Amino acid sequence: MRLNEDPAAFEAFYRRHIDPVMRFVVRRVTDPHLAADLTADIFLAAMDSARTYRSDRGSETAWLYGIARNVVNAQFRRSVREAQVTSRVEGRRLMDEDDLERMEERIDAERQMRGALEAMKGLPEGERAVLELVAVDQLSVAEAAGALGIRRVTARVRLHRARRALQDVASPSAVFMEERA
Amino acid sequence: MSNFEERLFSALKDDLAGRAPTPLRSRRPLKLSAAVAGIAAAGTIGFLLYGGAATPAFAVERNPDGSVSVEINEFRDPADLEAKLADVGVQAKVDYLPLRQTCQRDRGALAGDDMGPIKLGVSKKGGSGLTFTLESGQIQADRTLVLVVSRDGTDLSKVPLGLSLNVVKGPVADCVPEPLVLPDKLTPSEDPGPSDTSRTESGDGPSTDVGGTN
Repeated sequence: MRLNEDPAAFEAFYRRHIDPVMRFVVRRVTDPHLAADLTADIFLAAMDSARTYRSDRGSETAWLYGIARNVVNAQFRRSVREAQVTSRVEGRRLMDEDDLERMEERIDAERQMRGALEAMKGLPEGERAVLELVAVDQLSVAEAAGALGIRRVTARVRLHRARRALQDVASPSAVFMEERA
Repeated sequence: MSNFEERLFSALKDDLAGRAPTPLRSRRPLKLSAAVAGIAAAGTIGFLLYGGAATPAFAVERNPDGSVSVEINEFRDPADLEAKLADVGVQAKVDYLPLRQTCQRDRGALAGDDMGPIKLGVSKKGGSGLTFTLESGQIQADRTLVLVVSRDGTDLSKVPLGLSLNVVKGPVADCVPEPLVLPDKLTPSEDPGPSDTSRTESGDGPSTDVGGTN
């Protein structure tokens, strides 16, 4: 991938993914400043690991969502003592008042999806990860498998189990079970 | 594309070009990283089942006497609640679980008798969901407030089926969800209704004061 070497390629990549990445983030955090930071961190991480991208290992989307998951999960794992974090680009500093308001609107708009994610919390990690990407982030099973580095058939099995298990804890209306091709 | 997106694009492009003297992040506000801290405390304060009406949001407030009042009306965004508590100097681990699930019982050493009682309030119909107050000094540096709530994940404003509030001394284990075993005589239902039935666990922990508020 020429992401790091070709400014035009990077711009196309950024514009293709900025909206989906922001949606991914605001489904998982409710602080607009943190959402801005994580959005920047995800793109930085993608730039840093652009060399790891292989088109034959899955789509660009799958690769980027895999990175996004790692960045957001790392944030959640961080303890109070590890609060000191450095980043080359500090997302929150790039927001003005209007941006802040729009970010809050984005966060508000994803409230139902956060509810769905909450409802999945009791599932085993492997199953939850697939269901999150398919039901909440609307990836295809193939893309979810690519993002998680697992085989498609494994993703399908986990998805099936997760859906079955979730029927006990959440009403179907809260979780979008429809799967894309 | 909006300003933020454009500014971010420029900043990333600069970074890519290796010419970005972008300021290093000094310190992220504590509240942002308090999210899922794996710390914990001990001292069973109570376990209760209740019903009541809920309105959105939660509030954490430090009072003039140093105590901290907490009011939770909607059981969502546990990381935000942890962050708010961290802001006022209270380490906390909050887990909101689906209906009929709770965390494992043993997550750390419960705080001893040196900790005074924590007052728990459960609302009646029309009031807020849950309130409690931590007295000044009640939560010390090595202690963590551990709150576990079992509630309807599809309606976060619905009152939870059950909750437990502990103070753990030293490390706190991450929550491993398990089935919620309900006390006898209390039949679980999808909608517990506005009753404020409560029950406290016996134990060596501090005494508990549970009752309706508002």
